[in-house]
Amino acid sequence: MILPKHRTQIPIFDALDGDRIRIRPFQPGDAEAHFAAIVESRERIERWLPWVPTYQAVDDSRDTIARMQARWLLRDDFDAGIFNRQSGALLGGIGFHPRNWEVSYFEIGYWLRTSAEGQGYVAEAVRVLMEYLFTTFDAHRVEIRCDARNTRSAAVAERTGFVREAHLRNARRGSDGTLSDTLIFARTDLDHHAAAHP
Amino acid sequence: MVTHPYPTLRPMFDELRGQSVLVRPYRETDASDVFQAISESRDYLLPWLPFAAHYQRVEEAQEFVNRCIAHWQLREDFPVGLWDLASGRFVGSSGLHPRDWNIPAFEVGYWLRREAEGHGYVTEAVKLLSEYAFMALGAQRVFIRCDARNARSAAVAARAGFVLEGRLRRDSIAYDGVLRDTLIYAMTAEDPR
Repeated sequence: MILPKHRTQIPIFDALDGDRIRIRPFQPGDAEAHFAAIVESRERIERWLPWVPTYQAVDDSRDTIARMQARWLLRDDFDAGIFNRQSGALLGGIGFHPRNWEVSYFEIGYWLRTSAEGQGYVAEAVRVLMEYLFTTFDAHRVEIRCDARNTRSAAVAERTGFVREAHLRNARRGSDGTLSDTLIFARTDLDHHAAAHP
Repeated sequence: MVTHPYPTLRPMFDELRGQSVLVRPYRETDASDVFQAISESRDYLLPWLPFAAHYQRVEEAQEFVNRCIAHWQLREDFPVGLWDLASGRFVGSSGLHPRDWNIPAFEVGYWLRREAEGHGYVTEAVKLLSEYAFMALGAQRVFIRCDARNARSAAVAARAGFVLEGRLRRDSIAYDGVLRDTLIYAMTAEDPR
């Protein structure tokens, strides 16, 4: 894609559909569901996601959604929800974060509510989103980073065809004060096209 | 050590001395040395350091040196010059760049003027700077990144005892417009030094 002169005019999807899931930006009406999903999942996800403990009331979700909408509009960052395509229920979150527009290099991040675990929803969402990035944005590199102890997150990256590239030691200090390592996975345009045309 | 109520009052070294290299923060009078070193090494640095295309005038080097002094003063960044200990000749540039004070983690960068190659100045400087980071700044992680095609730079990291942690494919665009890979080397506080 040749990027327009004004970044807010970069074309972007309204929704992306997989077989079972829909990815779309959060809207104000999603605040209650967003907060409920975090409350339900707190114990499972707060170890990996430093923002989880900051959500103490629905207004925290309302504020976040307003900020996500603004960043989406500015094309600074892209945080979306993963929804059940049939029921519309919120399953979790997924986003892509531009790391270098010139390179067309993006990082994907995700989380899942506890009650939606084990169905492959995140892997499906990652596949749909990376396909979009490679075809629409001509991405050269799509990256996933996770805590080296987060085996479930690493398994999603591996299942969706990302290559483990690096293990960074002492790369993060968690809110509990402990140091942890970070894994970097990536899929390049070369990987993606080789997989599409073996 | 990690947090300091007044960052500008955080104690920092005046100089570090190795066997053959002197490492110290820049002074305003260093601009002509920096300008001359870049001018004579431009073609040699350019594939790895796009900034080498600039510095066509000594005023640009003066601007660089002044900014280095200011960053040091604010303790935001620790750029240093490298000098031959015996002759006092300027041989290159390096720096300890804070990336995350919560860890703390620092990145080390470096370049050498062409004619100063092969004396081990940079390897020695990297060892001095990383040792200072671990001992005086509480570093838990010090890392070096370089273009995967830059064998000399990677060799410095390996010689200084850094461990290759990975290779990020197609994460950057080189000066010639080609997508390139980046190597990440690191040393942790637990690693042997």
